[in-house]
Amino acid sequence: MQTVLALALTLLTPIAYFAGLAVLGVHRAVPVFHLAISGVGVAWLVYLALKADSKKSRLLRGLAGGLGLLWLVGFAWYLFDYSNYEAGGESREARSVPALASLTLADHTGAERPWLDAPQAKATLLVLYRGYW
Amino acid sequence: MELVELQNQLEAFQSRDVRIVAASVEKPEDLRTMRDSAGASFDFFSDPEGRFLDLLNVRHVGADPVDGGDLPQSSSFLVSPDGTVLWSHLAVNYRLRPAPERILEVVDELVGS
Repeated sequence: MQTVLALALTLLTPIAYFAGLAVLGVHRAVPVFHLAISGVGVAWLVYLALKADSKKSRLLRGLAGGLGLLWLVGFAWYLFDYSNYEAGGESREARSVPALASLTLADHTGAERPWLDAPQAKATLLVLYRGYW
Repeated sequence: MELVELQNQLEAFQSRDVRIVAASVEKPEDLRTMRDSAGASFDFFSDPEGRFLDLLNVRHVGADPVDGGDLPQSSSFLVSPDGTVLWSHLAVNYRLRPAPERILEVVDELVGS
């Protein structure tokens, strides 16, 4: 039972991170809490494997620990490597892109129209997203 | 999700006469799904050919893990009605986007409230 709980803690915490990010958008910085909880789950699995009193139990708990560790490493790799871009940053340097003003695209209803056509607006905030982000 | 946060702050943008638009390389039917899931009431635009990506120099070549297609670098732009980019934010990590409050500060400085 403890093995199942520890494995669930390890596997579900990163999933909870993504759910929170996608639904609530609240996790902007390094998710220390999620990494720590998932790490505790892995440590718990290792501890359970070490104190197992049968070879079969040790093997099963060891496999669960290995799976948990792999999951945690994958989570960390995603956070700190895969999701990074080579460059980024903020710029306030105004630059004219005349083609933007005449660009016509299909909106969410499928209708083609100029994306910047909003006479009453002083400016338009354009957000380019990929997937959920 | 940034789009949810922006929707939550939509009135603050509207009170400053700033319109919010979201765009991706997805088809219009996928945009509708995204728009619904974000509970957004602002416009979404479909850009499958990546015209925004080229005009704004944010094409992330082969970034789609599913089909190897191109995706935008996650980014935000404040654009004037004549097509001048007043401000841009290119994410260093696509999980990390500017908070709406930060964008509103920029709006107040560059566009006026």
